[in-house]
Amino acid sequence: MTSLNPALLFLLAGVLLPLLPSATRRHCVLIVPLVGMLLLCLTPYGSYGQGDIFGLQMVSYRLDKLAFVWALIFHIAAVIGAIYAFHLKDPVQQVAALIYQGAAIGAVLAGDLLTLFIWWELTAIASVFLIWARRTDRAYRVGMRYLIIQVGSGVILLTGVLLQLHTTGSLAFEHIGLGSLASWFIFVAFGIKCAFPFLHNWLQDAYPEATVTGTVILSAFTTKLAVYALARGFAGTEILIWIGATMTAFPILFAVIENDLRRVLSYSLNNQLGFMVVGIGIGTELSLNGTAAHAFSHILYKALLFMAMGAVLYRVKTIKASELGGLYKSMPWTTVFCIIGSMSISAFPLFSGFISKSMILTAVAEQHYTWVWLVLLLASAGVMDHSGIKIPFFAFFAHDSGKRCDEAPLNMLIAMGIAAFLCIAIGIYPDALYAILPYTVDYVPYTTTHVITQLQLLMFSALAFAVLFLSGLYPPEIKSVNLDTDWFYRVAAVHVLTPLTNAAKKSTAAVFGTTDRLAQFSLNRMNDWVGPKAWLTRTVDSSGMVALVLGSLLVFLLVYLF
Amino acid sequence: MSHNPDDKNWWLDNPANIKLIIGALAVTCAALFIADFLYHKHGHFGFEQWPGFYAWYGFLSYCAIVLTAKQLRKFIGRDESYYETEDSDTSNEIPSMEDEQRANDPAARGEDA
Repeated sequence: MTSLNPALLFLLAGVLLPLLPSATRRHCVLIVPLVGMLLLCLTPYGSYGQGDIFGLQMVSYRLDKLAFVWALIFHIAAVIGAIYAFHLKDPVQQVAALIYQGAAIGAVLAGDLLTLFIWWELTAIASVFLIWARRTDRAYRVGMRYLIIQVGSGVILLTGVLLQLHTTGSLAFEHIGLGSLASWFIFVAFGIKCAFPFLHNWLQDAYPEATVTGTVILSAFTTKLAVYALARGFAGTEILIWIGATMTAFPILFAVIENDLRRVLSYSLNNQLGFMVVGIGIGTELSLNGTAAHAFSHILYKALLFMAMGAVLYRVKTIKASELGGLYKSMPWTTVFCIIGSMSISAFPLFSGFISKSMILTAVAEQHYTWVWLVLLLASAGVMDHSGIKIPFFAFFAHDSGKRCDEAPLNMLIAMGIAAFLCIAIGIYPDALYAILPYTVDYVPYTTTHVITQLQLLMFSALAFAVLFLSGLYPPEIKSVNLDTDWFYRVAAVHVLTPLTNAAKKSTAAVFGTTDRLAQFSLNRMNDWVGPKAWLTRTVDSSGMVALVLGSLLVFLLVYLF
Repeated sequence: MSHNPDDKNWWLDNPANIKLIIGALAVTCAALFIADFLYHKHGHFGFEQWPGFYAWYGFLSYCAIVLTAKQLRKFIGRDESYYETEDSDTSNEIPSMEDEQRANDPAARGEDA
């Protein structure tokens, strides 16, 4: 019984959820991940749910140390998300959240590539409803763009999986490594969901447009699933080091000048993924442990930051930095929780980021990638700006906007409190997290050198902020949007393609004009004979119909008798 | 705030206290810089041994990032309605239990204003 796949529990509950009354639904959304977590923790490592389909070995539930870390943090994120969204009545969001979370857990526990593909696509389809639940035209269009890219990633994955089956004859999801054509397809599919540079913009486009609670849930699963898949399939692939280093650096520039604070956090998410990707590329036990640990702590502090910004959006009805400021007076608890999230992501000693990110940096240094190490260190100073200072400073302090509101609802505060507690608990007692990492941990985060150098980096970054802000050099928060790679498909492609489609329409009209007219003529004649008012299909009253039926029965009887 | 007489006096509203915080930050930074001379630093790279390497690197990286981003804005910054006329803060989410309670409770609405 304990080998029941928790993903199936989420799926079943998600399907049955709409049948429950709204007061029960929100409890169900909370209980399911708790039960799932219990099931997960009671299950010994091994492979379950195995079967043969067309002679192919399928393993729908494979639990080992690597999968366990991700499955566990996904369950924790689901619990926190359920508490944060406890006030919701919207069944669409509740169902979407459960199925999305279940699909992500199912994908992490998948032992073969075909099962992975099925869950992979389901995460895309379920999650888009967390965007559409905002019920605006804007959200509809964003959701469509998001869905096309996410499903596209799945189609590329399926192509890769089938090619892989063709070349190796196996569907097993183990180390793949770059080489064959199949591996490249799989790599790109993972890369899209992991928001690699130039494939990244779906993330910053879509996440800030989801509902208040939807963004919190979205932030935890899709991208970290991709990190897991890369860690499983492409550990030690050197190109990931360069991709990851780029990912840590360039989103920072966008985060600094972005006005929508939830979009700032989306860029920041992208930057944090970069650290994990570098860890995968290095591929040593320390770096892979670092990636797993960083994914774990990242999900918590990133959810915490998104929760704090969600609470601001929920209460103030805007999340633009240019409109906010001085909210610490109205939302003191949210402010404190947000600062804890900021200190965690900036990797202050005693907070979770400190004990996880440093594993990756140390692994990079041990392998003597000097330039990569310098980029990661620069990115760490950048994190201090956009997530450590900008988010709390412009929302809660800075220039007082004069806006006054209530503190966030109690359920949101509880969810933020739990996440904040875990951020600090991991920071103070890292051994608890180190104990569940894939490899034995031989790493001590709290050394004099590490604490002092990290504090130097962060405090001098803060000093730089103070200098720039007071001297007026810091870029002001202004109402604006910034172009990113989405410009190519939202504007450039439209401009290029519109004349082409118009020309295509014209030429087809010229070529098929005669046949079109012929077809139209035939349609019109058809309409005359059997259209709505035509004599063959005219509606006559029911007594006529009854008479017709009776008459035909009579004819039948007469024919039968004689 | 002055335009809201019910507001109490907040510690951070006093400019002297802001100066106090910045002073504390400067003192902390100075202390951290000096700390570099008082212990044996373990590092992987030679340049980590330079006095205050992390301090310099943090300060300069931070300035470089922020000032580069500021210039970047000139190239990629657009008006808010560049892509969409509908505001990004608009939402037609189904009202939550919390929303319904507040709608039925005039006191809660009053505080909101």
